[in-house]
Amino acid sequence: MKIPFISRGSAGFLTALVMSIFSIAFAQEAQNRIIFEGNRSLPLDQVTVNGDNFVVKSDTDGFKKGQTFPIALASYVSGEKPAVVNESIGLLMLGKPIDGLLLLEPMLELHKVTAKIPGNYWLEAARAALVANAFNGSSSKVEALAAEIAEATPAPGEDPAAALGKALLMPSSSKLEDRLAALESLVNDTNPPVVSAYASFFHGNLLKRVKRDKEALHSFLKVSCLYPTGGRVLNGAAELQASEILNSMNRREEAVALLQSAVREAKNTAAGAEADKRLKSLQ
Amino acid sequence: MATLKPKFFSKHLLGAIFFASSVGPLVAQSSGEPANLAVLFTQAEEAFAAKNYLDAAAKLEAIIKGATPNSPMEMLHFNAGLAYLLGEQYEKAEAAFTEAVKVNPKGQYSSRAYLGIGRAIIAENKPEKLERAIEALRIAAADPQFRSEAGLTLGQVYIKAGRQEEALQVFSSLMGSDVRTPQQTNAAVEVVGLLAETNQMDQLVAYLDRLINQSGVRNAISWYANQIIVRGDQLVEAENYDAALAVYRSIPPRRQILDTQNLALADQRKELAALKVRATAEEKGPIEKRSATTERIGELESAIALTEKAMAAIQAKEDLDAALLMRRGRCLYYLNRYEEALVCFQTLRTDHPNASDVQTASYSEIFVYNQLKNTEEMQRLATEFLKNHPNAKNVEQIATLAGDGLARAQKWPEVQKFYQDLETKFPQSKNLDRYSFFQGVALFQQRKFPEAISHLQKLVQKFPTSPLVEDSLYRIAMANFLSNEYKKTLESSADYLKKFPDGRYAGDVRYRLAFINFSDPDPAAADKVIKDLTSFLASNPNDPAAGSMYSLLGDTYSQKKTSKDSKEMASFQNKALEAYVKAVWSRSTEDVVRYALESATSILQAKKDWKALGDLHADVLQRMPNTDIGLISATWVAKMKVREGKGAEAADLLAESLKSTLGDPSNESVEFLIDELVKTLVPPRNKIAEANVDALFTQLDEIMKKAAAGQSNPTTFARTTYARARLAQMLRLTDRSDLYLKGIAMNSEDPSALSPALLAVSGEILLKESQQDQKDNKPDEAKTKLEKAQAMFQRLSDRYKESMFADAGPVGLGRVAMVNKDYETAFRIFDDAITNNAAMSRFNEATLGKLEALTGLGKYEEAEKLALEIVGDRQFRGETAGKAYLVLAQVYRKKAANLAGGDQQEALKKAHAYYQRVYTAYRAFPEVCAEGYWGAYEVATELGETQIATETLEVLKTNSKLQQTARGKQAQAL
Repeated sequence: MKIPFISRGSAGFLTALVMSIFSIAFAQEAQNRIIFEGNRSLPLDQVTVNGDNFVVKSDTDGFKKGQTFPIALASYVSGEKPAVVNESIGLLMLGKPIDGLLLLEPMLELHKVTAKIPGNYWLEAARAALVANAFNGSSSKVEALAAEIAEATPAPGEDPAAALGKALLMPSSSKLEDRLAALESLVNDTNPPVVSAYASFFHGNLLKRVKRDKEALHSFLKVSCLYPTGGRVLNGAAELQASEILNSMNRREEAVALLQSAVREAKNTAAGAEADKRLKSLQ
Repeated sequence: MATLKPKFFSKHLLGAIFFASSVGPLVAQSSGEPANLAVLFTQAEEAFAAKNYLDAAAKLEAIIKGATPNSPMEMLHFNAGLAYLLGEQYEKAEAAFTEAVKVNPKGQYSSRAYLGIGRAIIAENKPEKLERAIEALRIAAADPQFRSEAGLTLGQVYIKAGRQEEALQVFSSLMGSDVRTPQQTNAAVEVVGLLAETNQMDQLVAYLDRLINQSGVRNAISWYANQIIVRGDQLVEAENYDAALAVYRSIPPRRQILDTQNLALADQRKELAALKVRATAEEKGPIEKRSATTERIGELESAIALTEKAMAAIQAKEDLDAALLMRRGRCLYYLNRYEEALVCFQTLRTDHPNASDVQTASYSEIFVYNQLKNTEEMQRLATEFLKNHPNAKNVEQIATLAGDGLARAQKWPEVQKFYQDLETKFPQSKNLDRYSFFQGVALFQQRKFPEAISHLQKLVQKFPTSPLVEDSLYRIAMANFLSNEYKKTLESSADYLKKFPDGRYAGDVRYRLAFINFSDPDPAAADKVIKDLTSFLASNPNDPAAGSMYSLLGDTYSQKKTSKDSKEMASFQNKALEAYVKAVWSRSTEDVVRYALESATSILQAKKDWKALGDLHADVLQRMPNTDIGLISATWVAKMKVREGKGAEAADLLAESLKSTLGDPSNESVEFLIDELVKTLVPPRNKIAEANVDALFTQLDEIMKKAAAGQSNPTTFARTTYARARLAQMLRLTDRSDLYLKGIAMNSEDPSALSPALLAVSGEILLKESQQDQKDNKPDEAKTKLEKAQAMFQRLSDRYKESMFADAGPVGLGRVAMVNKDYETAFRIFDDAITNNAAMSRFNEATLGKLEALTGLGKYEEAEKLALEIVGDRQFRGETAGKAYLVLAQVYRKKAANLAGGDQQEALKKAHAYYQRVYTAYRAFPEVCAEGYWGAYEVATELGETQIATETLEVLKTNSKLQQTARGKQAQAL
């Protein structure tokens, strides 16, 4: 592709230029706001939800306390995805769900008001929290989150995340094959990619635990190969696990490539840091 | 992928919406305008819609000429500029836009007018006007609504003008902005392209992840998906597979695209309906009092129309997901990420059997297995492919690939059958000679020589001009040779040499013929060998078989004992030596070179020509530094030079050979060479006490400095220290040696700088030091050293699986886990190590570790069982068995803790008995023995056997061999 006005030589400058972009880029629009049609906006902590309406909590930005208007008037949530979402998913994927939840819960609380706004960050966080609670065996919290997710998403009926929660809640005393089957049934093209990705990852984890490495490898790789839009951090965590197996099979170069990708995908999370550590050890 | 054609969804089309929508206000006319101006308005609008831009411009100019005080001049000038810009009259466009901002510098159209000025000037391509363009774009970019579009152009202009800092600032703001409007979405796609083209992978991945949530992208997700796929395809064409993969991975599945698009379209249609109601209400009012409703309607209608088209394309492309799998798989293949590529291709083949890419995916899967040398899977899939796609154009290629794979894997019966089947399946093939040849090769490799000969002879007859005739004739000759068919060998060899006197195998055939004569006891046969080989080698010194021929020549001379003349015999010996040396320097396989070198060495030893022997091996060391032969020569060099009293020269030679490898931690021969080098400096055993130690260390330092010249880094530093440690050890200065090794361990911050040997040693030292710190109540230091030890062992385990020190990795990691009381992990590591490598060098240690982990996990039954296996197995004789008995004693003590009364007493007595066994039978291992005494003392105390306890303790205190042990000191402190 030729970018207008950029010669091949000039493009070389960009290599140096764009290096530090991200240190600056995401400083803008740090605080999330709800943006309405007509470009007016409100900070998240200034609204509550009552049925299908927003209610303004106090006089803010030209809005009056107590003012209500339909949620349907909200266009999107501005600003970056809160960093804690990726950080907590990273912790969760490393088997530290409690630490992940500690980070996530305040964000979930604040962003709850945006649950029904298209492109919100709450949904991803809620699914992660559901998975984390399932790991902790907190079935009541899993149920509650599943209900909230179902309410927030337009498709009727139970959200597939609920089925994921149930599969993860199966006790370790259950037959391994049953647990595997429950997770495997969730890995398909009908479910949202994030649900398939989580299910495939934990399917791989179970197989790895019983040393069925080849099958585990396949499950981990499915995450980033078949459901990459399930989430960067999931991709990174799965690549990290897969790299370990490939390295044990003496396929070092592929293991290194996977770790390089994992470092990138799970950047700024514990999973990314672990991938970086393993990469240095392997190179 | 053919279905989504870029031309429908021009990357500029969304930008054009911005322009086209501006026509809106032209539609309604001011109530105060003359009727002819109103007509011109309508005509201008129609010209715009018909893309007759210059006509539209002319109409607008006419309106401007006849304008009244009420005329919306800003809007008119702006639209004239727009018409000129689209009509490629850039100077006029610039002038018209400039007029618009003159009329109203901060008006409704000013930002767009500035954007238009910038674009027009850039299109004019006049460097002297660049600053003006920059200024105009900066103003436009200050407006949040146009930040993305103006910013992108501005950034590109800055780069061209060499103003990097400013370009950086602009791009920074672009990537941090929300993407809401079609223009911003368009710009975002451009930024993706920019990041991909400049390989800013981290930023690209993060940006793609960010974009998919943006409202502008969601609203036009079908268009966006298409654009991104096109970008990805362009990147693949440019072989930028990393960036292409990142791009393909960011595209949601088809179902999600359609669901999201449907929702977005529903919202947009609702918004459009509401706007139209508002516009109707505003219709009757004057132009200057109008809101931007009509403009927004135009923009929205265009956006909806474009999106519906894009969505229809996605709907029509039912195998979009399969197409994406194919793309990802292809990128992964070219990035050598084979296992991931397999997942993509396999899924495509199995889950999307009707996709257009399924054949390519199946074919690709076979190629991947070929790369992985997995002949079993390759065979299976090739057979399936041949069955499912018999008419595919690459079907024979697949078949040949599969056959080659079998041949590489040396599965000769399968090779034979496979090519037989190919012959049957493809009777008209141009490769029939090849199919036949490989059947012959398969028979040959199975040592079915008569059948091989017959088959290959038929091939030669049937395909006389085939390029495989030479190989066939050669194999016929070899088959006869290997069958010891003397006469037939001569005939078939002559046949080969007649047709291919200078052929690839001429040397080897002549070698075989010479070998036959060599075996003939008749002295004349030996002379013939010498004559034939000498003559051939004189004109073909670089023949592939030269090494074997020279060796045979050497052997022939060596065997000549026909002369009683000692001078003649000496001459034969010299000629044999000469021949062997030539064999060493020939380009031959290692076994040929090694044989020749050993033979030459024997002759030189027999002649007691130490100088020549040293020189020969010095040459070998120099020319083959990184080979096993080179290492053997290093030993000879050291020995011979020392014998000549030239130890320093030997050291220099060895140091010279170290230069190229000293800084490479993965080269394991370096430590070996250092050992040999150090040996050359050490005086004979009986003179060590008199040695000038300082001078020796100085000498060593100088030599190592030369070896490390120009490459001072942590690896060379560590190895220089290692050399000092070895010298100290050889001079029996054990404490000093230990200190040097400890220095390596403590000062090496980065494990990647250390070789496998030094990783193993350093890991051990750090682990020990950590445990000592723990005992000395220094928990922070203990933790730091333990973490360092873990990093050393982890590096060894990850990076050096094939090293002779590899086993230290998992064993070390297991021991670290034990120190951390992470018995679960420790057990898993030890168990894996034993299961996966029963022949590992540290099997005993790993087994003992597993035993200790079981005890830590409280699995006493299993621990007892394993301990009894250990003590009953001779291979664990010695310290390991002693430690296993200690564990048995511990197990019984733990059992006793949960029992009462007589049962408890019994358990304790068993424990005591095991401790007794340890201190009786394992005196050769003071620490283990002392542990036995201590345990026995404790258990006796528990049993109330005070006298026994006191006596036991007394022995531990007073035994001179045990006093310095940890338990011995503990006993003395009581």
